[in-house]
Amino acid sequence: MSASEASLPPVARSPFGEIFDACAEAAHGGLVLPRCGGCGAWIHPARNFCPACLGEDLRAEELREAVGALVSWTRLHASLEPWFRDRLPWDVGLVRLDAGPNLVVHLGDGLERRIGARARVLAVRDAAGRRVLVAVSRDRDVPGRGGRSARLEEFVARAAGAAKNPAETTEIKERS
Amino acid sequence: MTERALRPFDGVAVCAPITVPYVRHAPGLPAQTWLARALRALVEASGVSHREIDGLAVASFGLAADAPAAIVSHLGLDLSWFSYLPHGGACGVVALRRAARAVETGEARIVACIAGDGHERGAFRDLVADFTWSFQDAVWPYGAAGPNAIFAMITRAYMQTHGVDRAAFGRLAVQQRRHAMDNPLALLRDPLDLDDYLATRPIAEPLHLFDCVMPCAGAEGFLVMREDTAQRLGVRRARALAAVERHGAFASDPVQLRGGWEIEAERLFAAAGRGCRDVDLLQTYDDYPVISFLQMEGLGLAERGGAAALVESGATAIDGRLPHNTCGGQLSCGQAGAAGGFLGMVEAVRQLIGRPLGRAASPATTALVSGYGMIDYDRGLCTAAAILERVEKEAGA
Repeated sequence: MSASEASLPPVARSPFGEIFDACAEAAHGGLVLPRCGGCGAWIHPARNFCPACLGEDLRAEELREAVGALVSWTRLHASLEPWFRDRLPWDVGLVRLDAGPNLVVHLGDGLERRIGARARVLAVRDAAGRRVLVAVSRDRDVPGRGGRSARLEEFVARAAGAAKNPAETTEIKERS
Repeated sequence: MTERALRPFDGVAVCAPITVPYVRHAPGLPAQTWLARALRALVEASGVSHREIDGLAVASFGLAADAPAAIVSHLGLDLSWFSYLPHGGACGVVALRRAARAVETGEARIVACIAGDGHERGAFRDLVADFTWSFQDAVWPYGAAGPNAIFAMITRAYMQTHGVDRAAFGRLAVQQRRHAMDNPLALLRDPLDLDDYLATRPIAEPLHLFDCVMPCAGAEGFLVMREDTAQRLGVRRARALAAVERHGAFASDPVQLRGGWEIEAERLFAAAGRGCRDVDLLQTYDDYPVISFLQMEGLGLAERGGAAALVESGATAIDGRLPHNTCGGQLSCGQAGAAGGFLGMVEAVRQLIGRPLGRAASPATTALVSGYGMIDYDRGLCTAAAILERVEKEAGA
């Protein structure tokens, strides 16, 4: 690992991870994920075929209501990744979307740390410029469709860290 | 159920349980070295010559950096049967199950089952960062402390679902530490009480330090052959009765609070001709205490949510009715990569032939060994379980 990589969240992705990373931004405040054209399953982690029906007719679609329940969560006090080690403690959760898939997510500040809490999931770019998921409070963090609270903006900025690449910083700003 | 009835093993012996002593860090020693040491230990323990071994079942995370099949030439073997086991913590049971079928059918005569890995500083990160594509893509970027974040979430969900607190897991860790204190090969042998357990630093809440295994280097092994072969060779043996595997079960559960054991337990016991109450020795895969609980419940030794009470009752202590992880388990011995998947099997065979490393769980006659392996995204994929029994003294014993 080079010194510059050490100051970023993990960059490496598999060919499937690149499919997730390449998903377009949500146009309607939802969440874009690969979806099976054959059986309609939303697919995460990404693949280029559908685990439910093995079809290959997949396309990235926007799930308008990317909401679900917090299945569990943890507060990390240790990490093997230097970027996170410098920012501990760090909260991670597992959200079961009403639409199907289980999503490992960063937990936004406004989301209640309670199993069963209702959450909205959105995709943001982290400090490495990689697409990651954040679960936020349905009401407090996302007041209107596509709108974001100041607290969420603060979290996204923190998750984005001090991005070295100005283009990445710009991208995050453009999304707000 | 009839169409899924399982045929038990027919006269299959498990012999020569060996452990290549674990060390915390072993710079410059790759997995192949540990596997070679395991094979040599098997030869020394059994008197079977290297050349007589015609089957190999091998598990190691380190072999992928070479080519797994290259281990055959590294070990100087000439085989009629070769199986590479990518099942992580289920590999010990899987090795036994497949090797048993191989010796039953004559595909091999003597199968060496070995698992081992090296451990250098920083190696654990390299192993887990791209453990699977799904893990690399969709867990690792969230800061996950190795697999800790996922198991922390399973643990929290279990606690809430069944209304137990951290002490429930602590009692298991404390009990296993007592067992380890009698095992000279365990890396963690300092006394541990519940207060110590509860007071350690958090790693990934609700997991604290002693919920997590310590990565290390080492290897484990055993031989599988027909019982008449074992008698002829004069090696002590335990008898393998039946074994099952299940991979990918309950994939749509929101969180993994049960595993493939629930589906397979009934026909496992039926094939072995034994019931839960016959089991007087239990070895589970304890990468985290909650996973041992899931095995106890999935195999019917405790009702759903009842593992905490089973442990608290003292039943699973060395002098209880169901001694569990009698060498201390991975929580106290350390986790030598894939060897962790063999630890319970090797200890069960040791107890059944009356040569434990630590205290004897007496009289252990019927052992249940279970495995769990390969965290992929938010859950483990591989589960397995086997039943073995003591062979009463007779010719060859």
